This record gives sequence, structure tokens and C-alpha cells, in this order.
Amino acid sequence: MSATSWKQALIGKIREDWAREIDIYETQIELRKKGKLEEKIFAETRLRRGVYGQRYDNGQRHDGENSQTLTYPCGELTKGPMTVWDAPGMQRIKLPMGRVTADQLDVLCDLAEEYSDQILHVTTRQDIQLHFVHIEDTPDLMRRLAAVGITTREACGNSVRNTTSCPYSGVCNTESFDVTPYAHALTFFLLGHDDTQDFGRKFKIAFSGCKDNACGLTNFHDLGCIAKLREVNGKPERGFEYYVGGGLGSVPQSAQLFDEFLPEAELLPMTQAICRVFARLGEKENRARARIKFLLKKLGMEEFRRLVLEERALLRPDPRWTSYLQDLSHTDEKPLLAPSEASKTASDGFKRWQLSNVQPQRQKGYVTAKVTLPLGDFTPSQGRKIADLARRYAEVSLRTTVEQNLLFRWVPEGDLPALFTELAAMGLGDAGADTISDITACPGTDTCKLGISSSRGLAGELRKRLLPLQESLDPAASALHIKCSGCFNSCGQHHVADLGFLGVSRNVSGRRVPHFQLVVGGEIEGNGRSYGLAIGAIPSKRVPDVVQRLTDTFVKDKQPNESFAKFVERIGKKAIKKIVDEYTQVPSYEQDRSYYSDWGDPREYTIGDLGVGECAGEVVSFTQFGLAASEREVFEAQVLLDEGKLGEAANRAYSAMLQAARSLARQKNPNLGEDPSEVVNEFKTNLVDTKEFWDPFAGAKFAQYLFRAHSEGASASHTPESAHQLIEEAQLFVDAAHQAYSRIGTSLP
Amino acid sequence: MQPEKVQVKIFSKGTPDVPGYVPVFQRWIREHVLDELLIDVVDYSHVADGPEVTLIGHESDYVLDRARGKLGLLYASKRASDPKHGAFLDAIKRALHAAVLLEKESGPNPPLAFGSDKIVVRIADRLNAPNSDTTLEKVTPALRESLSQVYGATPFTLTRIGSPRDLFGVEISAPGAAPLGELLARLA
Repeated sequence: MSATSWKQALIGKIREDWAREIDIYETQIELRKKGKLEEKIFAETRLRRGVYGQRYDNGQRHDGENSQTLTYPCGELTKGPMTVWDAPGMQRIKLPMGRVTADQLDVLCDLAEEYSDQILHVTTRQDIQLHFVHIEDTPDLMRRLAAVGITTREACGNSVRNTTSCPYSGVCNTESFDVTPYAHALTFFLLGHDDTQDFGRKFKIAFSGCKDNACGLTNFHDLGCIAKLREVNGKPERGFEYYVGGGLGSVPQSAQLFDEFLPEAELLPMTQAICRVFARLGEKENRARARIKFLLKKLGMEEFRRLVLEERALLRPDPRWTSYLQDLSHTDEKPLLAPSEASKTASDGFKRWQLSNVQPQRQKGYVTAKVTLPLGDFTPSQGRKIADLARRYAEVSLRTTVEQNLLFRWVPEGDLPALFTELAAMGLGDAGADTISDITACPGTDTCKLGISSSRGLAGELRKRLLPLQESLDPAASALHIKCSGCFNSCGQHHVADLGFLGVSRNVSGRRVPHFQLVVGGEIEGNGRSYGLAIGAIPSKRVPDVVQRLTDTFVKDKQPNESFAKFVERIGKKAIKKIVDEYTQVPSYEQDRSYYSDWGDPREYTIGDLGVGECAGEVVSFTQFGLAASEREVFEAQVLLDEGKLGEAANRAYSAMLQAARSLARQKNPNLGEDPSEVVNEFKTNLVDTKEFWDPFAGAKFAQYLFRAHSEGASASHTPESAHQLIEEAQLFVDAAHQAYSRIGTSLP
Repeated sequence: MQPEKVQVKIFSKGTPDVPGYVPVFQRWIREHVLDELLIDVVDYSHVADGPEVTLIGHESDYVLDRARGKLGLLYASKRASDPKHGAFLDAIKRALHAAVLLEKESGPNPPLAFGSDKIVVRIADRLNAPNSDTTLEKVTPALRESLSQVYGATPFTLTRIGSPRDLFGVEISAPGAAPLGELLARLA
């Protein structure tokens, strides 16, 4: 008999723990629909599964004349504060280090066709995003991803986001060593770890194989790890230059050196210790100052380091810290084709593409080839063809890049012309990767609730104008980088571009006009070593002219081998501003209405569609999550009882109590493990014996429910009545835990 | 079999000004031109051989789509509505209705014009409708019944298209079919 649901169809094909997580998420959806799960907790729950809000999801949209109410069939049901249940949203899909196999890409393409708007979007964090997804499609979407080894867990929300790394890791000519196995180990060690559940904001990690190139962009990450070798007694030792507290956003901050050589064995525990300090001391109330960079600024590096080292010493040893070091080759890729030499004859188109998009690998005879994706977008049809091409070269031969492109690895040089021909045939043979025409842009007003101006619209317009000029552009101009963000949150990473743009709006005679603030002189090299300076706001419609003028000036006036950043430094901000000022005038509405709408959007411009961003998520503590999970378990126990599964129902009820007890007890002992006896003892010692868990009227009554269930053990036999009673007790226990949390939550350390 | 998530593509003639339909779709939202909830317009004209301009709705999307290099209007049903006459007929009717409206839009130059002798019907549900002969067998009766109402006496043929990795798809060829407006009128 054929399967009637993806859940059924994929039984046995998904890791057990992942399958369970998705089942739980699906139950949470049902609970929310029944009004049994608080809006705020559900919002953070879905965010931590990568299910993110999208523009207009508050049910309002400005149509260019008036704000319209979008009347969805769900009525009042919401999936978060001011977020309508039926409103389409975005699914962020984490691809750690941007690695994606051909089989995974096939599934991503299927999902884009069945649940999204037939476009796959590569983000500036090497993720894939699908837009216009309905929340009720997300559990199956996740199952299909999980069946090919992808989890969306912690893709959004106050969690450890996708780990990025240099896409050339393992094949790079200048790296100290391949960071992939380290990044992989750290990613999956921190995924769902208790010590990463209580952050006030997100936490981003990047790895780079070398210090001087652009690839890892570690300088603007919460945690940046640069591979480093040193010699001890004549033997090479691996470690990392280890940075903390970098970030972009409205207050860009360069990462600070925490340790100039963190030995490889310390990577996981030291990061765990940092996460604990961030969770404990990081800002929770003021979201604008909740990233770790603010904590670092407040404490100073010396005190921050002292606290982290103190925490490190207290950590309970975990075999995972070093077990992966026994075999660092498990993330290695094996080429499927023998190396070969480049052909001597080639078309001009191929040569241009080769010059900008191809780099030799460290392994002789192999190259990497970049697929320039316009605005980071590709179609399912293109994706499947890319997957087929990738299958020829290596088991995992593709990586997404932070410049929103795709990278083939392990291509024999002799196969390049054929690869180019096939890419060109599918409309993906554009040269100019990482040049001025290869523009990075965040979603901006297209889909982001926080977008102020159309970063994608601008990037698309600039690309359209610059692409045909590629051959005629001076090499110095061609080598410039342009990055666009729709607002000050800097998802387009405009600070590290030669020419960066961030969306702002200006009021002109009572009407709003979309503008972009010009930021010049940032440097992507050296892992994004320096940030550009804001020069002034330019009407969106004049930005292409400003780009043209500045690049012309640079080409004409630059000194030999002078970078754009150095050029800006030499001629000064005033000189640049003088040029820019010529383009800042906005004609009246009557004279030229085109200024009053944004690129790619003919509606009259408004900032009335700005919503409340979900980037920061909701601050939901580990305890709140735990209590919500225990409630869900009580619900599941009821369902199991209805199905006549008495033993399972009773165990689930017991598990609900344990979960609630652990959620409270762990606040007092962050090292608390998951062993039931340990949890019960800790709960008894720290919360019951101290009377903190005691109900004002019933005393320790509810705690006894847990103690009794624990002493009877999981193997106790049950009648329908006894199982029913246990479930009722579990419900009372969970309610009591909630009460206790309300009473003592704020006083907990 | 009456599936969910039915898609219908009606092919365009000539080389119309596709980006010119961005403001058209924006106006459709503003003026509630279609009898369903319309949400947003997205412009993907930078992508080769894919959706170029999409009118996003709650129940369905309307896409000026150039998949496989062939421009057309792709109607894509997303959420199960409660069609009175079955999912196929409902999707065909909505696609025809939108196509007829698009042909009447005077802004874009050159405007869209659609042929009526060929359409493609797809089902965006790989679990229940994989692209196989078995699915074709299952859906043929309901599809034929719907198409008979659309084409009347004009003979038509059904050919399954695409590879097993693609969505289930059927190309319907009806040489000599009446213009779209007439086809739509038959379904009124």
C-alpha cells in the first residue's frame, strides 16, 4: 500500500531524534491551533526550526494608495505576536559550511516546487531560503530534508545560527589546514545543546583557513576561528586564532582576539564555556544590545576571558570534545574523476568565465568553479541540472558561498569547457563572480519585515547595467565589490564592501522617498578586516549613476596598485561626499514620480509596511521551553491513552514531569545531565528541600507525584485507571512547575 | 482521483513585455480583480527559464513562467479550496479567467496573447501523484471529464511529459480549439 503522508513514507529514513523533533513540532502546531500553546512560545519554537516571518504577515499591506487588510481564512489565529497564521512565511534551511550534496539539492528543488514559489535563494550565511511557505507545510518539508541529512533546527531565533566557512576549505592553496571537520564537529556539538538555549540573541560562528583572504569573514562574527599551525618540539600542532564579539548591524564591531592559539582540543569546550557566559550574562531585555559584542564591551576582554576560563574549568567533561579528532578525514571529499589538464583551445566566453569564476585547487589537476547566481536565486530546474553535474565530480562537490553563489569543487581542469557549456545552456554561464557585477543583497523589502528599501531591486538594476560592461570595464573597477542591505541590520554585509548601500528613507515635501546610504571603503580581504564609512543618503533611483561616477573617478585618479579603500582614505571623505552630493537632489513629485517608488516595485513608496522583525526572536528561557515541552508531553500522553497504549502513555506522563523538573533544576546547576535519578535528586535537593517548589497551599504534594512515578520506574504495569491518574498527576505537576517558575523564576541565577 | 495542488499552464504567443505586468498584478491586488486573496508580486526576471513575474495569493499563484524556454501563464493552486466541480476544472477555469484578463490589459507593450490549442496540467504533489504512468491512469478519467467540458467537441490528446524527477505533468493538445474567451464561457 502506498504511503498517505510524508511521515509514513519516510519512516526509517530519518534519524530517530530528528524524526521525533519534527513530530514534536507538528504537535506544537496542533496545540497552537487549539489555543493550548502560548503565542510567544510558539513563535520562538517555530523560529528555532527556521520558520520565519515574512513581510505583510501582520495581515496588512500598502497597495501604493492605501493600507489593505489581507483577510486570511484563519481568522484571529496567530503564529506569533502580530503574525497571522495563514500568512506565507520563509523557511530558512541551514547548510553548515554551505555544504550540499547532489541528493540534498534534488530534494531542495522538489520542496521549492511543491511548497514555495519555485525559487531557491542562497543567503549571505550560506543557507538556502524558500519564501511564501505556509506554516502547515513545514513539518513535511522538514521531514523530507531530514531524510537527506538536513535539519532546520536553530536556523533562526536566539540560537547558534548556521556555521559559515570558507568555501575553499580543503582545496585552498593558502589555508593552514582544512577547517571543515572542526566546523562540522562544533556545529553538531552546539546544535540543541542545553548551553545554547538561553541566549538573548543569535550567535554566529565562522571559520577560515587563512588570515589574509576574504573567505571566512571571521571579523564580523560572534565567534571567529582562523586555522593556525605552530610547532612544538619540532612537531606541528593545530589550533585556531580565536576571536569573539564581532558583528555588523547598526553598531558594527570588529571581533576581538580571545586567544592567539587555541589548541584544537579546546575548540569545543571553550566555545561551550563562552556560550554559558553569554547565556548567563548577556542582555535579555534590550534586544538592541543583546549580542555578545555588547557583553564583551561591557565587561572588557580581560574580565570576559576570566569568566570564560572560570566556566571552562567547571564544565563537566564531554567525550565529544575530542572524539572527532580521532578521524578528521570523515569530512574529506573524494574526487570521482582523475585529474586532467586544461584544453588549449577555448572560446572567448569560456576564457572570460574561467578568468573570474575558476580557481586552481591545492590538488594538482583540479579546479573549483563558481556558478554566478543572479541575486542568489536559481530555479528547481536549474538546481537539478546542477545536481547532475555535481554527481560527476565528488561525493560532496558543492558549497554555497556568502556571496550567494554556488561552488563546484574537484572539477578536473580538462572538464571545465564541458562544465561551462552546460552551465551556459541553463542560463548560469555568466562570468564575473566576485566582481562588481556580482552583487550581494539581502531580501530587503521584497520579503523582509524590516526592509526599508529594495536592496534586491537595486542589486538587480545594478547587475543589469554592469553585466554587459564587464569586458570594457577597467580591471580596477571590475574588481570592486558591491553589497546592498535593505536596512541597518546589515544582512547584505554592506560594511565590508568597496561600495556598500543600506536602505533608508527620506521625507521630501511630505512624501517618502526610498534612499540608500552610501558606505565606502570597507575591505572584504583579511576576513572582512575593516568597515566602510557612511557618506550620505542617495535617492534609490540615482544610485546607479553614483556607482558609475565613483568607479570612473577611481579608475581615473587612483595610484598604481591602490585599493579602493586606500583610495578613499587618501582622497578623503569630503571629496567623496562632494561627488555624491551632486546626486542627492530629489525632484518634486509633480516633476518626476519615479523617485517616489523603489526599484522593481511600481507602488508609491511607503514605510508603512515595516513590521516587527523576528530576527531577534522572542526571549524564551530554557525553563520556559522545557515547561512548554512538558505540557506537550502530557498532551501526547493523553493521545497515547486514547489509543490504548497504556505503558507508553504512563511513560510519557512520567517523562513530562522529569522534563519540567529538569527545566527548573538546571537553572541552579547548568551541569545537570539527563539521567532521571540525577534530575530527581537535584530537583529534590535544590527545589523541594528548600521549599522553593512548594505550593503555598499543597506544600510538597505535587513533587511527590514525580518521586512516586520515579520510584515505580518505567517498567511499572498500568491499568487504564492508573495511567489516567498518572497523566492527571503529570498535568498537576507541570502546572505546579509553572507556578514555581512564576514565583522564583526571576530570582534564579 | 481529484488531486490538490493542480497547476495549469497556458502558453503565450509572441514576445510580450513581461516586466510590464508587475504594475498590472499590483493593480489586481489593489482592485481585488480576482475572487481570491492576493498578497504580493515578485519579480524574478533575472532568473533564466523560470518564473519571471509571480502574483502570490493565498490559495494560488499566477506566474508568468518561462520554464523550458516557453512563456505562459502558470496557474498554481496551493491550498485546497472547495471547488464545486473538481480540482482540475477549477484550476483550468481560474487559469483561463486570468489569461483572458491579462489579454485585455492595455499597459504592457507588446501585450500578452495566449494560444488555446495546448495547455499543460501538472500536480505539485510527489507523494500522491508521482510522475508515472500509474498516476496518469488514475487521473485520466477526472481530467478527461474536465477537459471535455472545456473543449466541447474539439478532439484533444493527453501526453505525459517530463522525467520521474519532475512534477507529474500532462500536455493536452487540442488543435483547432476555440479562443480562450469561448472556452471560459463554456465553464461559466
